[in-house]
Formats: sequence, structure tokens, C-alpha cells
Amino acid sequence: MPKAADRSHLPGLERPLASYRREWLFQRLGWVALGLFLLAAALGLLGPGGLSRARSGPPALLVSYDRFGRREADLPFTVRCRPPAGGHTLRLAFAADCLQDAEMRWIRQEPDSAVAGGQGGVTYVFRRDPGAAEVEVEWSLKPEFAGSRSCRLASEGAQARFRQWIWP
Amino acid sequence: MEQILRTIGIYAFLMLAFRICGKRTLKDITVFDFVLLLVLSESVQQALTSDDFSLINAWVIIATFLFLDVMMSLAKRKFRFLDRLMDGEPVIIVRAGIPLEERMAKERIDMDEVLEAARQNGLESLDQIKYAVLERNGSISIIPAGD
Repeated sequence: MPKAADRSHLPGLERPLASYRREWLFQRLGWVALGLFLLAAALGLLGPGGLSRARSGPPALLVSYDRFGRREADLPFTVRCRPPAGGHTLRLAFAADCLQDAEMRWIRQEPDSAVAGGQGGVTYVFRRDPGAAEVEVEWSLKPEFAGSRSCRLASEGAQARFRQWIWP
Repeated sequence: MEQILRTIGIYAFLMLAFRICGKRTLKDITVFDFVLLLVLSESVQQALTSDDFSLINAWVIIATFLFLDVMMSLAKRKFRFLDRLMDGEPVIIVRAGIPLEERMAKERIDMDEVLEAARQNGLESLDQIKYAVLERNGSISIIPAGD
């Protein structure tokens, strides 16, 4: 009677070919999934860029934003305001939902002042050239949560509203 | 998109850098090599993540590396020249018990390493070696001489 150590262990390793094929198929499906995931990222479905770019609001308050953002990463915005002629200031009001659970990283141009509004909103006041037809303001937020977020902006009687999805 | 391009750039650079450094195996790694790898990974990590510390960014980076690796393995299988270019070729360093000095010098292999590989194969002298081959992964294979 041969001892267990003397017998070959190789026959025990053999599995039906179908079992290997299932594993190979699983791997190849995984490669395709990886490729699709990267394609989605490249197109801008998993963060800023490409298909993620969107606009919202009337011509007097046109906001460019990304539909998809990432938690703890910069999320840029641009707004083009067309205020009524005359006047030396522009008021841009952020509703509370815009700034909730997010850190304002920077804002350009530099606002003259910021006034806390009701229910957690903030109104930024910018100096402007009375002759300029358009004023552009850029800012970047760093969302501190993942999930859906909405934002409402108002300036000189015009309003814009949009929604974003923040990936974890 | 920028993240993917950045990852591809780092993959390509690392591949080139390690190719230039020649064949080394992890089993032969020194303490300094190990520290160097740690420092290297730290600097690569900063370049990869930049200011984006989100989970999805980490997934994109990992997926890019793995996808590149799978695609590269498929490409190397299809195009032999790519395989040779990326991984090099095995080099015979001892033939019929005679060390091929120039090859050993260029590959930075000394006789002690060949003899160590011989001992691991139960051989005690160069005469007993038919071929010693420096493999692409940096290990040394020994083919014993027949009786």
C-alpha cells in the first residue's frame, strides 16, 4: 500500500474543461467591464469633462457646470451674467443647497463682499464695469458627500437651477 | 480623461524605467531596493491622485493599470517583437560548463549567483552545467549536463 506522499497529486488538480472555460469567460467579461468603465470615465460620466458638461439658466444667468462630480475633488462652475445696463455691482445669490456639505475652494473674480442670506444661502457682491454687457464668475466647490445635489442661483431677477451627481 | 492619460503616462514610464534597469528578481531585492520602491510608489501615488482623493478616482486608476496590463499581455502574445521589446529575451550565460563572461558582465551576473543556482539544482561544479540561462524575470535556470 503506497503512502499518500508517494502518490501523485496531479490527478486531483484536474477539473472538467467546462469549469476552466467558465473561469476564462468570467475573466474576459471582466476585461470588457473594465474597458466600459474606463470608457465611461474617459467620456466624463464618472466625473468632470466631456459628456458631463452642461448648461442651465436663462441667457441672463447662464451657468456651465458638470453633471457628474466626485467627492473630495474640485468641481468647477462658470456663470455668465448679463445684468441690466448701469450699476457698479452685481449680486449673485447662492441658495443654501449649493453650498451645503461642500467647501467653497475659490471664487473669481474676487467678490467685494459676501452677505449671509436666509436659510443658509450666501449672496456675493461683485464690482463691475457699468459698460460691460456680461460678467463672468468662476468658482470651485469641493463636495463633502456622495449622491445627488441640487443648486439654485439668482442674480438681478434671473434664476438658474440644476442638479448634479457626486460619485463617492 | 486626464486621469486616464496620466495613468497611461506613468505606466509607460515605469515600464521603460524598469526595462532600462535590467533583469532583477524580487527575491534578490536588497534593503535599499526595497526602500527605493517605497519612495517610488509614494511619488507615483502623488502624481496619480493629484488633488482628487475620491474613491471613484482610485477605481479609475486601478482599472486603467489593470486594463493596460491585460491589453499589453494580449498585444505581446500577438506581436512577438513587442514581447521582446518589453520583457527582453532569455540569455545563455554558461554553455557546456564554460561561463560566457561578456554576457555575464553586461547582465551584471557574477559567478556566485550561477553557482548558487547550480547548488539549488543539486549540482556542485560548473562542469555539471550544460546551460545556465538568465531568464526574463531575472532568475537563473540550470540545465544539467547529461552523463
